[in-house]
Amino acid sequence: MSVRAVAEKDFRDALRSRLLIVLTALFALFAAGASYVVTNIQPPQQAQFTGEVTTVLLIVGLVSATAVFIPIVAIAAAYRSLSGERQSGSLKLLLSLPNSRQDVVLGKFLGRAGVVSIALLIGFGIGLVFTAVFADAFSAAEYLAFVAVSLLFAFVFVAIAVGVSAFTSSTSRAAYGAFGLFVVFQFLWSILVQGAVYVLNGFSFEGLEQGDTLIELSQVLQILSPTTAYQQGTLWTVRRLAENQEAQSAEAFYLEPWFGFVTMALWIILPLAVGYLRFEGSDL
Amino acid sequence: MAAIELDDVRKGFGDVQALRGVDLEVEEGEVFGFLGPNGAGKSTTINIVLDFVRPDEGAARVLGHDAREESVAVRERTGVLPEGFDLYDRLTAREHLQFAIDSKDAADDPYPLLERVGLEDAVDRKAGGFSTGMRQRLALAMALVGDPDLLILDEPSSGLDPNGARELRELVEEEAADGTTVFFSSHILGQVEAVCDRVGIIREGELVAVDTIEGLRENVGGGSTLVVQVDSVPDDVDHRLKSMDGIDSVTVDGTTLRIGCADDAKMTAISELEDMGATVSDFSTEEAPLEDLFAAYTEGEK
Repeated sequence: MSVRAVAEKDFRDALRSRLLIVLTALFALFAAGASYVVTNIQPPQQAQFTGEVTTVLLIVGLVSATAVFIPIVAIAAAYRSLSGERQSGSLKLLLSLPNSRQDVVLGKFLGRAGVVSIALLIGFGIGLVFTAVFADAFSAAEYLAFVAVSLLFAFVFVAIAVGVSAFTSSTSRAAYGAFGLFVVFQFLWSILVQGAVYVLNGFSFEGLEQGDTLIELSQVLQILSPTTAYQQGTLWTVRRLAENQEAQSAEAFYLEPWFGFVTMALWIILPLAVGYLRFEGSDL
Repeated sequence: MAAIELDDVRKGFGDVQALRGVDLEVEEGEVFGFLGPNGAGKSTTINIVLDFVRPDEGAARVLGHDAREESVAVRERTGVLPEGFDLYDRLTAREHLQFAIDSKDAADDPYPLLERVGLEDAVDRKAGGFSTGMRQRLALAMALVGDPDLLILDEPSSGLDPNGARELRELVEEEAADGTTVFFSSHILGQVEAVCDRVGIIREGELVAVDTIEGLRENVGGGSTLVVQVDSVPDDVDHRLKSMDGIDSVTVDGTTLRIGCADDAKMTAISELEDMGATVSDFSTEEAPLEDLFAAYTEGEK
């Protein structure tokens, strides 16, 4: 399997980059530090209420921080994956061998996803120790579920960075593109959705009520952000584990908390598909 | 079946027409030298054969497969030394070979291949510390993985010292003796002369000649120079000789005459000189230097 050859090569290569060591160290520091901050300095409101920091509450506190930090790690590890090889010329070596361009895009995604997984697992491993120490009621299952969903979220940004990297032959453009998308998802998405509703409603927010098509549309759009999907998916998973209860049934399927997973899967497939199509059609 | 078949291939990059309708047939088992000055379209042609770039018009078939639609099948049986490539600095020579072996699904062992290109002492060194020549050798070893039916070498001798260039020539000869078709490009005719069965010369995106080296010499005319020593130079020798068939040029240097002529005109030139009253004390022939031959095709008016 050629995808496997490309993925293995890429994994070995990227694993030895100094950048990865730096990212892993940063992430480990972050995971440890964030656990400490959430438990000891600024506990979630509910914990202030009950006086007890459970693993779930810790994760609730952590997730908004990991939602920012994980994409940065993923993008930094993957934005050069294709554009870098194109710029240096090693892509010629890669494509001189019987690897299809599809093998190359998929192999790159798998290779970089593997590398990012290593960085995150080391970081989370250190975080786990701190969490076990700081949380009053520690649950390994909940923490592991949080790690699993976080990895999935990391893969979303690996896919975005690889997709953008396949799209352009310049590493700087690949970096701007991937970080630009991150900023849009992380900070601008809900503003953009609000703006779209405002414009579509005739440049005002007046007369909008629950159940209107526009409101529903804005809810769908809101949920389609991978960052929202990650937070939703994490909370859904750990709460189910913690409280052992079925989540309340929502009005529409896209408002169901599990829909976050569908969104994340879409955000893995879509950037890879778009990047591949562009890469397939272009001259080296 | 031809190993490489190009049919009216055209390719432009923006305003520049890189290839203006190239027709080319490279036969199976031959060593074909692809020559042209830098920027003439050599790499573009090779890139189309490998599906790195796509032609605007025309078609390319390689080893019986469509170069565009069945590129993976082509590359399964082809070994390539690309031009302007880079290695993975953090991977060792062995890991590079292993990657090529995995990609080609071949059963090779990295070591003998590395030995063949003279890298046996660098097997477990990372490519980041390699010299240009070593990089070229490593890529060549990768090209040899899986005993390819076709070897495509784009400017293979760039970065090689004279010793390396000789080893490369031997390697090409070994592969050719094994039945492998070898297609390699160069901007220096002297590098391909010794090994090539045929050469093709490309100029400004057009193939201007495809022939054996001898064939090219004959075509250019005055493929050789006759050097004659006489006791005294007759008057009007220039005019009289030049008016004869097969004689292109005459230069006089003291009592030495240099006569550019076709092979069959040599004896006539000498007897004509003697008719004019000169005594020929010595004569020899010099083949036209390859550079002149190359220049005849790639410079001046078309």
